[in-house]
Amino acid sequence: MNDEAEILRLVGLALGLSPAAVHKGLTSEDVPAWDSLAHITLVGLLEEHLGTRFHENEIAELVSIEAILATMARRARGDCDN
Amino acid sequence: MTATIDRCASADIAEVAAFFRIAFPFNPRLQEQDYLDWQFRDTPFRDSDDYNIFVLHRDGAIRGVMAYVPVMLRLGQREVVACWTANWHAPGQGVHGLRLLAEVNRVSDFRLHVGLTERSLTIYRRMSMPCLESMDRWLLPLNLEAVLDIAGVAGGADAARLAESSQHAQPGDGGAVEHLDELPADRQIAFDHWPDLDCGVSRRTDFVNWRYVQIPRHHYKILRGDEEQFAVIRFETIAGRNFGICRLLEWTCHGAIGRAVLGEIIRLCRLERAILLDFYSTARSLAQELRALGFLSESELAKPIPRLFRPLGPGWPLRLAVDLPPHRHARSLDFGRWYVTLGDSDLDRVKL
Repeated sequence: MNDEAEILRLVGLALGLSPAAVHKGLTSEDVPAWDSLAHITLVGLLEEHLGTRFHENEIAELVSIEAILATMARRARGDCDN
Repeated sequence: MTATIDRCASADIAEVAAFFRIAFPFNPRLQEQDYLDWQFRDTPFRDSDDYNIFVLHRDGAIRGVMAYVPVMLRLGQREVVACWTANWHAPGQGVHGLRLLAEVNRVSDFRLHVGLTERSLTIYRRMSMPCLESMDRWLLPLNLEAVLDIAGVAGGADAARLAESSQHAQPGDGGAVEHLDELPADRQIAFDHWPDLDCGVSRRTDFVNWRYVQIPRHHYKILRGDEEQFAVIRFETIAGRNFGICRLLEWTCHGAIGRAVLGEIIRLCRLERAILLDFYSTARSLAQELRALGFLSESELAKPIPRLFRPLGPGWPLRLAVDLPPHRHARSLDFGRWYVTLGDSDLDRVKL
């Protein structure tokens, strides 16, 4: 499973969404259950399954699947501060 | 509509007060401008004249807030600029609560979060902050019969422990203890007699005077045994009763001076019809000191004594988290080395 598919799966898992409901355009504004607690759970899942550790200032920016993908891509390029 | 986070401007403060009226109805002081000025603007270690409040605006209204108080933090031999956080509240705003937290995080690398909800504790724990699930509460019953009544304890081991503790509650003659209107300016209260107690918000006298003297419409008493040893107390009536309790907020007293200061506090308690003295503290060295004076740890009781008295309400664990760099790195923290009390938060304030 590539990172994108895994991220979609983890977002669904953290937010209790069916796979059909999770798509690349999804943002926190679209999902009432995507609150701070669910978000920090999602961050933990992403870190555990993708083997990364987000900087504290990045966490609040990961508010959409696009943002998560962009952050992961930046990290893959080594363009991050931790 | 896009949500934005801004620092609270003077023009916003009335709207913030209105938001607090709904968010924190049990604390009417948060609706008063001079109180907000005191807590979030006119603090001793401020670096600007702005309010230390971040506001989440959405759809033309305030939807969330997180505030902080700049403090100096002792970490062993060094002292750093830090902040307490306060009034984190953004209900129904998705992840914007975390955006408020991120703004406060940019202010200081050193953060103390005291008085957490279970939800906040979970968030902070998942961010890898060391957390304390329950700050020790120390009790000294002054009127055993009334304390047993308030606690709903009819007998058994709890009653025996409270009775044993209450026998130590003897008033002193107050001879060597000074009552101060405020502490002398620009002094640092040392904790020399407890060398293992080397972390926590610095008890600079400017901080102590701000916290307990300059606060609007609150009345604390400062008692001093010598240059370095002082206590701060506040009396609180119990709703529906003709007696009250005494809240101990600061305690840096040791040995014979500690006994003299406690004796004076108990004498004042008798005058004020206080039935119980309580004190929340993380410090291990203070625990030994308090136990020697007759205090009882609430953790030794099967049934907690109510914590709220206006109105009478249940106890709950007082939780805290400490966020130090490097952030998001799991670590253990020896909270026993920290001097944290209810004075490091706004939780002791008068409630309805």
